[in-house]
Amino acid sequence: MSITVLVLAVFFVLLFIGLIFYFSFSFESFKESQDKILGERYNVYLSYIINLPELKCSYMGVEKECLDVSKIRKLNDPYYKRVFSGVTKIYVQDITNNKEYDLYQSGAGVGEVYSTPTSLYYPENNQYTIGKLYLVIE
Amino acid sequence: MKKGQLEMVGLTVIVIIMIVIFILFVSLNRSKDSGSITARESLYANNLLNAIMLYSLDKGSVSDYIQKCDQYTNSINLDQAKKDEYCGVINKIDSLIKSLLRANQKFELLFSGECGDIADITPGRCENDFITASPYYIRTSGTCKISLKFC
Repeated sequence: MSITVLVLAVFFVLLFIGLIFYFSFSFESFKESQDKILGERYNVYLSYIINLPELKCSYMGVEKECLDVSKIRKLNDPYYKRVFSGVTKIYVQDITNNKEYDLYQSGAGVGEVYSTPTSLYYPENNQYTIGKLYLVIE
Repeated sequence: MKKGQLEMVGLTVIVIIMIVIFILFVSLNRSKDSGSITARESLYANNLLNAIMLYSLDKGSVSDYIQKCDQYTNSINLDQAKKDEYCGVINKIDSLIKSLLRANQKFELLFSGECGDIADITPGRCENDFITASPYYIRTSGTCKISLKFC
């Protein structure tokens, strides 16, 4: 009788250890899935900003894969606040001319940074430079 | 050893084996999950290649220079000075890409199609895993295909 109880006790101890392992891995995998989904969401944001008609270069209705510097302005409309939920700051850095253009700010503007290269168009002298679009996540 | 003790040892061994198998299964499953990073790198590569091709130099964009380079490379009346001037942009592309990547990031920039004989920029030859940007096409005497790979 006492041996059976002992066997059961050992079994439950091991089962408990197994469950701890299982839940710690489950939690980690849940966090990874969350990061993956958020990563994809911020990728979509980056593509979305580059393709915003209010910022994108176009000539006679033909669009190009670049941001028109003359169109760059602060995106203050409440609409953007709804679209960019979780984003604290969006800005463009012109690497060639070493300039920075703020597009959006909500909060401190500090956090994880996502970025992608982009072409910047200066219509006044018909020049394309290389810039980087940054997205700061809370 | 008594029968009960043997049972206990057996059970312990089985449970330990199950835990080890479970941990191996979970760790192998985790290593496959890199889809988000791939998507991010792919977007980065596409935008980088596009930005570089549009980048303005003294006499036009980088893609214009490549077009002219191909033109002077394949011309019957070779104008070496013009060829050097336009083809020299290839080295500029290399430094531009490097300035926009992580310090140890390896990449390959390949020219194929009509401009296959211009140059290939390959600071790090990609072997197995790589991320490719959508190719950039330039109209030359035929079609010039430019591909960027991150190793």
